[in-house]
Amino acid sequence: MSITIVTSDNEQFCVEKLVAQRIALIEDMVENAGDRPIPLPNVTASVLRKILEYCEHHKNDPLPPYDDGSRSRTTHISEWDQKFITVDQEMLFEIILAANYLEMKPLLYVRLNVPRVQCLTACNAVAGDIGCKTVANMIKGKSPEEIRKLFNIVNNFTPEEEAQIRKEAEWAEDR
Amino acid sequence: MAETSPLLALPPEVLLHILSFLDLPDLDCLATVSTHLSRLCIDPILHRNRLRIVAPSRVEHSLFAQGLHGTPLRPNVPELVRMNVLRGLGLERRWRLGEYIYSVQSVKQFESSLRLEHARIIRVLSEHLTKRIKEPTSRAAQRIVFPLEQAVSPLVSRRLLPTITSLKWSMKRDRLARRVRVGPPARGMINDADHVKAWLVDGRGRALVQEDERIRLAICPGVNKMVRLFEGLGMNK
Repeated sequence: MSITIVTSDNEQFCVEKLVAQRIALIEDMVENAGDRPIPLPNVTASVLRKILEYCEHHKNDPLPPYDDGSRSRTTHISEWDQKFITVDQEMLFEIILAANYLEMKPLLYVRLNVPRVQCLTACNAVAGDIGCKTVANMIKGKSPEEIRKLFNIVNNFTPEEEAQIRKEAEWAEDR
Repeated sequence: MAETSPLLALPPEVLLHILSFLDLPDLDCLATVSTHLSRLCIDPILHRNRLRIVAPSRVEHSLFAQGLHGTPLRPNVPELVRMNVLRGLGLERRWRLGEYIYSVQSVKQFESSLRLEHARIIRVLSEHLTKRIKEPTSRAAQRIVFPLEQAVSPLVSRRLLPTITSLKWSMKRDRLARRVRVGPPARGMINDADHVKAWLVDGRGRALVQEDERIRLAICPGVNKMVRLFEGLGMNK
């Protein structure tokens, strides 16, 4: 049995149900939609292709259990995922955004009055998780200037705030 | 401004999720990048999460994590010995006997450290006690109601105590004798330079000098003998 998905740029995807189960949003929508195609207005075809590729590869893995955040927070990424996530920065952030959109679990937990801490850690959208890890790895061990350059961030501190930061950081400097 | 950067365009909860993978140094770095990030970096829930869940699991990971084939990642004592990180004479033999930490030697070391600590406490306490006694009871100590301050001081050997007592006694006797001989000095007389000079010259002040000599003799009584010996040697020549 397969499901039809329509992306924002009107491209149709035929997806196995087993694969689609990986995506919480689609799983929820399948029950309501019946045989009609499922529209995903926030996701473009190129990103969805990428996410489906991920789901296809991981379709036989056990579903991730409810995450109470106690797993080790290492930024280790397995080899296949590493290859999967080596894309340009624009694509990387789009995957993170799309995965965040498709994985509606956090919203579910909000409705169940689970504290926000658990929501934060439960937000491990499958593809988004390795995306976030990749971004974290990109940030790791870099100086503020390098980070600004890498992500094209403008320094919007006022000179007074900048001086304040430098003053506060003084005690932590190596002597 | 935020539109230009893909990182800042992410919703804050996703950004927080990214930040939750980072440790303090990186967060500190990010906080100086832009105002938006600095506000996110001090998010209390992020740090509560970091302290309550992430840090313990990191510790657990570094202590008990297992590699691919179920081998622990943390090296044990034999491996450290093999890697030449732990070194020592007969160390390998000792850990094989299970004596690496609970050995006789380490017990001895522990006991001697306890003894040293004990001695240190005694020294510090006695120092403080002498300091405390000195102020309010100096007059009482002069009357030998309290033991001599030298007797309490850790700096003076016990063997010298009889000498010190006799020395003090003779000084006291001299002081009394001088007072009897000279009589009470007139008030204001000492301040006058001419009178002091006269007092020294006419022999009444000589008691001061004699007292010095007496102290010297009390401390090293053999000096006169030695002086006489050397003088005798010179005479013989």
